Amino acid sequence: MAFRSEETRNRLLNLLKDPVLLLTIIIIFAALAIFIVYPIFKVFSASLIDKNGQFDLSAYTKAFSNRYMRQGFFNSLLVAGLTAFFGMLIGYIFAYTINRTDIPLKGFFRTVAVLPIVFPPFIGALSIIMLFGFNGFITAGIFGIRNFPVYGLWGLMMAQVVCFFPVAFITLDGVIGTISPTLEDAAFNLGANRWQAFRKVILPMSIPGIASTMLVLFIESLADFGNPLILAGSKFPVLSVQAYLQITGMYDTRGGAALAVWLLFPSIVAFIIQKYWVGKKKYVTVTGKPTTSVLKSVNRPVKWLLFSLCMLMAAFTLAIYATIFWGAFVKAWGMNNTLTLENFRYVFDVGLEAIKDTLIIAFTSTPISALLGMVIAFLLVRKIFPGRRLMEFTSLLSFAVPGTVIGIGYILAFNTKPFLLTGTLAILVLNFVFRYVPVGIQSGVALLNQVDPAIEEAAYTLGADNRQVFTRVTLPLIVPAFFSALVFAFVRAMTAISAAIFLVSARWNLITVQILSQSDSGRLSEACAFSVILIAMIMAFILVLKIFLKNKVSLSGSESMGQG
Amino acid sequence: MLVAVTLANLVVYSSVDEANARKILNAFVEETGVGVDFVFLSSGPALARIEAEVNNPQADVWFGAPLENHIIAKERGLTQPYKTLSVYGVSPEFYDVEGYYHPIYMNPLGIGINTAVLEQIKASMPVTWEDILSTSLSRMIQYPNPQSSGTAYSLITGLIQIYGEDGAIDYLKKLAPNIQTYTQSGTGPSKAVGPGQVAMGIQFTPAFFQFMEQGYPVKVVFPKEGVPYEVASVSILKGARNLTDAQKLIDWVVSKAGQQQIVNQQTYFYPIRSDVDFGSLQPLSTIKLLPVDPVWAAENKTRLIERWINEVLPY
Repeated sequence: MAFRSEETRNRLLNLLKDPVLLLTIIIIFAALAIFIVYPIFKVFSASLIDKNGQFDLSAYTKAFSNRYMRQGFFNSLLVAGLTAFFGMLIGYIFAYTINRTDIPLKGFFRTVAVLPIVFPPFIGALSIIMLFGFNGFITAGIFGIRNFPVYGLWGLMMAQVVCFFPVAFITLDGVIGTISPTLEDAAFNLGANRWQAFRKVILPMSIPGIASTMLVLFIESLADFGNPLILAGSKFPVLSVQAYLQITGMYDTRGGAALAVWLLFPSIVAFIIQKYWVGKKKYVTVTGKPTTSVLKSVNRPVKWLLFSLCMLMAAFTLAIYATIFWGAFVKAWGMNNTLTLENFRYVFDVGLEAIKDTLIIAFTSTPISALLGMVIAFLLVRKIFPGRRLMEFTSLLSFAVPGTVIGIGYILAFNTKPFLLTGTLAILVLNFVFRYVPVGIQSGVALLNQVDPAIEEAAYTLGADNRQVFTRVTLPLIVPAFFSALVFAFVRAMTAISAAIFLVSARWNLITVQILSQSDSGRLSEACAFSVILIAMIMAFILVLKIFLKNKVSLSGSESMGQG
Repeated sequence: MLVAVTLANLVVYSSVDEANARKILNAFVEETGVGVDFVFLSSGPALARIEAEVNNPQADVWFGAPLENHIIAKERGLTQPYKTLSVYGVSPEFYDVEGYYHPIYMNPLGIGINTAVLEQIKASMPVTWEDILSTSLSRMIQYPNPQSSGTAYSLITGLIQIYGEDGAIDYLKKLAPNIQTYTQSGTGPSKAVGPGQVAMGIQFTPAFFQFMEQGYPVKVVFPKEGVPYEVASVSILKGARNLTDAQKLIDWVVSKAGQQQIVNQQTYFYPIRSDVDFGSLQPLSTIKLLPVDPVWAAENKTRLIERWINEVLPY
């Protein structure tokens, strides 16, 4: 024990010798405390303290004793588990096929596999109903099935798998892309067949990626709100929606907060298990040694089987987008297919302010979020300081908390002095920055973990100081992670709804809130048109970024994301 | 942004949908010259937010959301009274005698029917609540979950006026085999009825009329036993910074001029005054309305919804 405390003291002394590092750490801790921990604490305290300011557990006992709520809890776990598995599987098939075979149309598959990152809230789920409902194009139109259970587990899981498999693809693409084919060559030389090479080399090396992917999907699915709101239906309650309904339908903030806290536990358990497990299996694959080889991982039949699977998924994904576009350009979705531009005229008439506001908010919050993510990732991977684990945990926490709860937490926390922010641009920007910073951190951490520290150590040996190493060596190495974080945060800021719905104000409004209100009042085509504009703006952003960075950046390059 | 308050526009949290709120408030701006900023928040989030902001209100007025929500706001001390003279000529069940909330318009609840789907499944147009129990409508009706939606709760309290409490629960149990899904939001059914993914939806009717206007094959039936209705109300928030303009809005919207605009602007809402021209709307006199005591409804909400969850939902 004496040894440990001495080590801690030495670390503290080292920190004091580097004031810039120390200050950075302190500022980040303060920001995390104010913008992540404090709002969550407010929600906890709202759930635990009754009207008279007394400590009271009744909100929890009520939630636990209700059979319907318990069912919601198990349903949430079930959907999250299935979504995590199937989302990962499809992401893995895409990543493996693109990296390890010489199939045609690779560019097409890459694009389709990241497209659903832009999944317009509500309208995406509605188009699933248009495809699989009573008069659905796929169920009724192609197979003549009228009673496909689109409301409930199957519809919801389908929507979530489409919505979240890009996250899996991007992570696993990064992982498989950085496993050198020379390793397989070595296996072949030692007499292994293709299946053995896959099972004994590629698969074990991608286990950390698979694990973190499943964790991410599990948590995303638990917190997802837009899809279950439309697709779950009341016979298949899920907890994130129940928490929202408790707050907004029964006007019971305490009960809703209690449900949300309950929802938090599986997220956090998943997070901890993953940390413990993946932490033990780290592989350094970017070493500066040459890695060229010829692709020969699979034989022809397997190659075309993989190709067909990818094609099937791509067709399904494109069908959803085609449905949305179709809705935006016709008079009456599914009922009157006369082409018209009227919906867009309406959108520009009614929604121009919201479009402008959305862009301002997204452009302000994303660079801050991405940069902050890189700094935190660097600190976590390369620096040893007291509270490192705590920083990691809190910075990733907002990702695991359902948006509804964060939204409520923000208005509870920032409506009184000293942090008076409600109704301002700042509250939306801050919410987005801290809600989407985990993406940047995880992609930064994943990339740094794959970069051999020896490269940086070499720079130290040659006399570089901390700052020089970060700016001249580390930063260039994690630039891809920075840009993928940038794109991801931008997309999320543009499509956010669950927390934002509590934070928009008379002066600052969002497109997603428009989509919700338009579709609520029976203007589905207009809501589709809003979605099309949303998709177009995000695609334009990615395209411009690509052109400016001379094609070095893409959502689906060899950089990895989401691995923790 | 706090500085912008000096511009002194009236700040409105609107639970009336975006497009219609725009129409009504624009008419108000044109007739009175008051500047208005508004943001759409559906009634639940709006109330949650007004409550969270009570120490530092960000808005002057809560515009829209059913009367029951305004009663909650009143009881929780979130709003302030104002007695408008415009209220003369308005039926007393629509407003608060103490002046905390005021009516904007009303919506009867009805059955929206996609006639193309009805033909497809060879079912006939319903006239009464009993008609939709027909086995030919198996899994072909949607209505919202009362836990999440005031609309569905209105349906329950309305049916109680017809059948009594046990009778209403019994009726909904018998209806259960015909339900495709209970939607989470009050306007969920119309989204499936319009594009033909279900034959019928039960909800407040404006969205159905909107679908009709856009050319969807949708018809609305008000069952002849009677239908409940909602009164969209408006309250001035406690601590409102722009009290004068807030009061102007109340005066105008309850007045005959304001109510005529509800019709003229094609909102598909029903005015709460009878001394206006109803235009193309089905005259209110042909719809049987079932008044529900809002205080009773509020007091029994938790209990009735739990009955629904335990007794109706499992079927």
